[in-house]
Amino acid sequence: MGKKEFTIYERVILVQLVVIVLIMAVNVFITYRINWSREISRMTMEIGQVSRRLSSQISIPFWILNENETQKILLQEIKNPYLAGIAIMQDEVLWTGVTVNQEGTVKELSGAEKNVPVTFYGTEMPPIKVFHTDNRGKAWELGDLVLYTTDTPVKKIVASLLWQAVIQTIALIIGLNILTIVLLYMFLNKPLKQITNTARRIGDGEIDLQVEVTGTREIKTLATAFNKMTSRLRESIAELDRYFTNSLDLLCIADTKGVFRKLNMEWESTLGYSIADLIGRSFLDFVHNEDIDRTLAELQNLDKNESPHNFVNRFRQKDGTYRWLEWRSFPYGNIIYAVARDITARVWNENEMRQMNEELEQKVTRRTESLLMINRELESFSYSVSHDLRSPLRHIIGFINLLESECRPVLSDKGKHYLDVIANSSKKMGLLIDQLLELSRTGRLELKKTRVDMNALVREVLNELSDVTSKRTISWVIDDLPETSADPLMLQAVLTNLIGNALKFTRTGENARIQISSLPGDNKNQTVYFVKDNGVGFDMKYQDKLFGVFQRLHSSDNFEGTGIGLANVHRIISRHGGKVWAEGEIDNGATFYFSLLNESKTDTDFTLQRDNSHE
Amino acid sequence: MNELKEILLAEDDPNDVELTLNALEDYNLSNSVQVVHNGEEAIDYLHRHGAFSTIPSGNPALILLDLKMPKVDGLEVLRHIKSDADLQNIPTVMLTSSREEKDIIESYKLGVNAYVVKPVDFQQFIDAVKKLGLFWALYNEPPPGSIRKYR
Repeated sequence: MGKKEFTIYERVILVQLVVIVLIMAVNVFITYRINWSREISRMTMEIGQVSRRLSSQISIPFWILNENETQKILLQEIKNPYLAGIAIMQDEVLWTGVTVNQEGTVKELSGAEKNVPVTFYGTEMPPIKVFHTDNRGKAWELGDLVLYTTDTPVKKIVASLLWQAVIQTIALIIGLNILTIVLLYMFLNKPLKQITNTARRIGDGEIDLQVEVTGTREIKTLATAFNKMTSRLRESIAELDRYFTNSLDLLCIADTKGVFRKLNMEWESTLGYSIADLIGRSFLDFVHNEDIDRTLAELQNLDKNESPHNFVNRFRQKDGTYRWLEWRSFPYGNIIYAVARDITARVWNENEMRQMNEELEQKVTRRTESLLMINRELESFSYSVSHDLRSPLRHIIGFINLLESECRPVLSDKGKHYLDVIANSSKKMGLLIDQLLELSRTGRLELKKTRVDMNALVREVLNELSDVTSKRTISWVIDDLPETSADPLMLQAVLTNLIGNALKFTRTGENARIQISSLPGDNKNQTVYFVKDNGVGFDMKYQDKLFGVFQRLHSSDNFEGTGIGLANVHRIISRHGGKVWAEGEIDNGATFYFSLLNESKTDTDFTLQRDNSHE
Repeated sequence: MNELKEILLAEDDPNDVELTLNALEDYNLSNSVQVVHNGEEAIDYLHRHGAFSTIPSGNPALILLDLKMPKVDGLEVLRHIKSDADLQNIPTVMLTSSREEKDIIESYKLGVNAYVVKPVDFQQFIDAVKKLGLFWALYNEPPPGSIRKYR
């Protein structure tokens, strides 16, 4: 956009110039048209009179050919400004004449110069015949009178008239302009000045002032708008003031030295000072000694006009104690607008919380340490059981055997019975110790989950139990089992236990039937496996005792056992995140179910969730 | 005539010693057994130190080590054996009451040749020890330099 933009003044001047030129042109044109034709007709009329007068005056001197007399008459007439020359022609040859050149010099043309060609200045008029009438009334044609005219006087008159018109126009425009200025001053400037003054006073703080609504309509509109504006300004100032006064935060305005200039009431209610106590004092006077360096550094940062950010320090109250204030400051020129919030309670809470957390952490650490210690003690206990308890037992059993082989023949029947009781009890104790160790190990060992082919695992367990199964007739129902993810060794222990139980508790009846199968679980990732037998079963009212350590529902006279096997099953399945439960009826068989999550990716050890009531 | 190779039995418990020797008696293996009662003695014996300095040198064909022994325990003896250039080839079997996984793992890490848990049941115990003795002392060809005894 290379086009020149005109200012309003340039436009006004341009328009004015155009208007002036137009008015002048019109005025000049009209003046010219009116005066030119009038002057020309006046000239024509005068020339007509001159020619009529001349033709009658010169008729006698021409008749008598008195050149001097004729010249006199001509010289008299040539003074007429419209004439540039007079020629009297005799037979189309100049007889005598007068001419005036442009400079106004009069020249007589005599007959002696008849043969010299004469140049007349001006416009040649048509010739007029000059007659002489004798006393008998006969008219004699003497020659021609030729007049040369000039319009120079007409031009002069018209030109002066035109100048007059131009001057008149200019005078008129100047007059009008002066009038406009005076009127504008009277109707516009005065009220504007009043509004300006009022605005200045409002700017200086006299916020309640209003301007008088007088003058022209425009001025009234302006004054009304101005008053509306000031009232809105007053409103928003009042609004801000209400916020300032009623804010729950401490609001203040200070200079860059930190000297308070304005504060809200909250300073009184929070810190106990009166506003007058604070105004004119630097807030640095109230900052805690330990915080003063940080605060000064912060002030310096504000000087650098860095963006506002939060800052916390301690501020003295009137009673000499300190409160924690969180500041946010906005520098603006030489003034700082600051908002402070009393965060003492929060700081205390945080400290308290931190202290509590620390204490809690210490407690947890101590507890963990003691738990670790207990765990280590338990481990060393089971290690002792494993080694120190088994050894003497093994010796008892060993030497009973040796005793038996050495001395059985010499013992009485009672002695033999005692020996048998000791041997059986020792064996039972050995079994108990082994199973307790097993239980403790399943609790402690790390879970090593892999994909487990349940069908293969069942085959392996049955193989393991072939000593028992080969001697009995059992109808097996073994369904195809879905695979799962578990620790295979632990799962094998579960199956061995459950299938072993099924074998054990079907021993007394006929047509033993054992089913190993599965069901879909509660959700698609869960599978429920079960081992069902048609053995002696159990009373459902004791079902909650089934999985407890040393809990037995059958006497060892009928079914041997330690009461640890199902506890172990429960622990293993719990650690896998599954559940184990049983259904049964006396003399009508039992079904033992366990559920497993079939998630290939999860490797969660559910040790922490296991039910410690069976420890 | 079968040649008998020497077995070193390191066992602190005299009952266990008696039971073990009893078990080995059946194949007349007990005669070739040298018994020591703790780890320190075991190491002394292997190097013919102290009380054993008069015994002719030579390595046993098999070392049966109990795990828990006073002074120097079985694992330390095993560590000593397997880090000694003269001894490391001797077949060494842990014969112990402990089924603790960490003991088993540690023993295999140190290079044990077998780990046998003493069965509580007497018959099983007799069986296990007999088979051990039979295998290592009769059938297994020991590293060169082992002491041989003839029945």
